[in-house]
Amino acid sequence: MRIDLTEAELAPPATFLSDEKFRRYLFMLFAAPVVLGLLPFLLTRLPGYEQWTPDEDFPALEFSFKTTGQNAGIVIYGDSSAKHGLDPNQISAELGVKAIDLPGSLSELLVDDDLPLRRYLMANRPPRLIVLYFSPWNFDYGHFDPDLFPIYDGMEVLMRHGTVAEISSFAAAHPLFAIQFPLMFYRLGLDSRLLSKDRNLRREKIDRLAASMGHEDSPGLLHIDSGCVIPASLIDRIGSDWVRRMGAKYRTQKTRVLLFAAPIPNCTNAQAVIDRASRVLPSAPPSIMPASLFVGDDTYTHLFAAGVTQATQSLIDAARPLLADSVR
Amino acid sequence: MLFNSYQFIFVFLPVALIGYEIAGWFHRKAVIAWLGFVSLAFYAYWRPALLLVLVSSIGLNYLAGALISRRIPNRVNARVWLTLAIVLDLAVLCWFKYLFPSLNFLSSALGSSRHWTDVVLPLGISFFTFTQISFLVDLYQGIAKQQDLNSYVLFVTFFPHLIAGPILHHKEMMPQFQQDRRYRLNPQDLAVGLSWFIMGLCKKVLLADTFGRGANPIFDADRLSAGDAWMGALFYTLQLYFDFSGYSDMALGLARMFSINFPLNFNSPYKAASIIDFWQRWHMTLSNYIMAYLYTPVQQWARKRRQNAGKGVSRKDVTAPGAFAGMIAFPMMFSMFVAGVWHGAGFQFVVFGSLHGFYLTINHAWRLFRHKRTPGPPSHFFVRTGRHVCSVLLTFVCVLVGFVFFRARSAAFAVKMLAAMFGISSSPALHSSDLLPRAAAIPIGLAICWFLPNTQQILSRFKPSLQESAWRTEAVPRGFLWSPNMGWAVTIGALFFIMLFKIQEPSTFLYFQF
Repeated sequence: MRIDLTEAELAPPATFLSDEKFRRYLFMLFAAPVVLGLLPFLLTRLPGYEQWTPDEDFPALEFSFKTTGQNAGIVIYGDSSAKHGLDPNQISAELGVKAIDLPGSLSELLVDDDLPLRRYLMANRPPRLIVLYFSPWNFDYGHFDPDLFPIYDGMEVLMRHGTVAEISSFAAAHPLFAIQFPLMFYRLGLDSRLLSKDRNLRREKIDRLAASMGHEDSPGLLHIDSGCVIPASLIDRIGSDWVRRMGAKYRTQKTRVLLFAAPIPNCTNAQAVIDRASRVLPSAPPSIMPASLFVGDDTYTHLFAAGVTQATQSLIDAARPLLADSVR
Repeated sequence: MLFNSYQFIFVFLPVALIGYEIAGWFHRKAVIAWLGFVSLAFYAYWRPALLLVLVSSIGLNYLAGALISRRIPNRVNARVWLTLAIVLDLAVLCWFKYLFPSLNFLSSALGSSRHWTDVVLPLGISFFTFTQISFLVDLYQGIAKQQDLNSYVLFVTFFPHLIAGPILHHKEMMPQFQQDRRYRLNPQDLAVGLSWFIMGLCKKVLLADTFGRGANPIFDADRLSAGDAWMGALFYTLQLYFDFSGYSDMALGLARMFSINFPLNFNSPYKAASIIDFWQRWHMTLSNYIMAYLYTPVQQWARKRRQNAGKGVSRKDVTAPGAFAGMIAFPMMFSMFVAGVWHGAGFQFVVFGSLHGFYLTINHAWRLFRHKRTPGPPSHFFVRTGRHVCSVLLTFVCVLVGFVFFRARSAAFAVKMLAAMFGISSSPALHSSDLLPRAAAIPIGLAICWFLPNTQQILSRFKPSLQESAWRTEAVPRGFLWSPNMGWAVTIGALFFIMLFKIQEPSTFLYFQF
């Protein structure tokens, strides 16, 4: 084994180039990833971004920010159970008041909290009723560990619509997520074959959302089995702090607030959910609907189109007395 | 902590570099202490409790060193301290690495249903144990000098090599720690080291992980067709190459950022034209270690026995079958058997080591006995080239067969896979839709291994690694020679960014398990 170092080996490398040259090289080396890293932040701010974003769910989230001048009497804000499970046009027709849903998702709420609702209220007259509509296990979303959820949707909305202060505040609280945003942007872009090719489909989706006032049919195909069991992890998550606080924030003399728990599937342990929700939630307990009306995904809350009318009717029944009380 | 993780790249490494710069304002000893401290933190990140194993091992070996070198005055024979320390080191290694797998092996061989739960293997235990044993042996032989504790801790734990090598020798490292130089961040070393690190990261993320995704389903399958088996073996052979090569590049690059040069550990082994050549290019520091601390002592012992028996030990005598068996074949088989077992407790590693021992013995015999013939006239260029290509291919196939054992979940599965590869038995194809598109990457991987210069050749103008052989630029096409210009900066920077979004789900290095 060779064990002694020669003078040549210990000597520093030949210095035929100046340190300045290496400094410039290092600067350029870091500049390349910095430029590539900043690019997605700029791209998300471009007009028409929602038509070619690699994120297929983004057009729905964008809808909330294109509602200037809607001046609806009823504004629904919540998680994906509201987006897929309610028909604002049915509400408008039955209550005679214009209703709009600001479509959201849990992963968006985790980042943006009530940003879409705040932006809506800045651009419109105060509504007579705000409905905060969540599945029972998302009432306390602000306390969930963001590591457990894919939060790209929310970051995308924040980067597009957030102010510098809002973006900085998020980045300070979650530096790793902020670094990951451009990386996730590129990965998603590669996964969806470098940005959406079919802009027509995106446009149609955006038009459908506008026509339905924020409702979107659930994309799932399989339904929940009748012998289903709602996972304990969801039931354990039932809490109320976050939505309760949001309700207090928006309740004014002119605007009533209704906290509403989305219906749950009639699984074998549905009663356990009702029991816990009755104790914990600041709303009426959720109604139980046939399991076959729910999409078989891990949220246990997305309704097929066949269940939307019934779920919407439950909300209308709860909203009617509040609306009658509200100041016209 | 993995080199290919955000925590390492965005937090640990910048902190270690900034601390190095700040410590450099004060004194060399502050730099040594800082690097030792961050290396221990690097180790503790995975499981803090296992830091106790590393620290205890360092403490006990340092104490043994002090007793052997008489820095702590005592009258006990140094050989006793050395033996005690080695026995203790090997006992700890066996406890963590071999005891429970061996008990389970025996248990199943004897038909018992009893299963012993494995203990968690401390990362890099083989590496830091072997590094310290060699230091103690050299201390005993008077080749090494007892060091101050900080330098010793850094020598054993310096984070670029701690988990998976290269296995460092004190004579290569200590002079660099004690050199009278400016201990500050150096733009040239940073540029070379960072570029090297990113090249290694690319090998790991773009190539090794891609081939790994092809190899895993095949090695997990129960039945294989000949095509599947060849594909699996080639996938894994390329995965292991790029994984270990990538790791070695990253380790050497990281050390270089701190102006420390490591010895080369990997030098295009699939370009080897013989098995002897292969082991001079693959895990070079392990090969050196085995030569110095296993093969040579066993060979010397065999020579002495022959001398005592009045038999010849000259070069000419070795060509006799009996002498060859005693002085070359036996030490080689023994050393490679131990090298195989070093990689793991399964029977497949015994076969892997023994197979390479057999290959090396045949290769040595070929060299010895072929050289006895009188050399003929020099052959034509095409004949020479053809012979070289055949030698490279034959070596590659031998290595590939060995790696089937290395990767297989059991020796029985490896035999089954080899039987499928060579048409002795075969099953219907797996028909996995993922595999065929991936198979297209195999020729690309082989072309990179065989026809492109390796990273130390690319960096050869800037003294990569300790060996002077790595500084030769003659054989490298000019376009491949790295220099700190705009083109390389943008290319490496863009690659770095691509790696950053590819490592959102980092994968471990294969050599971490050893």
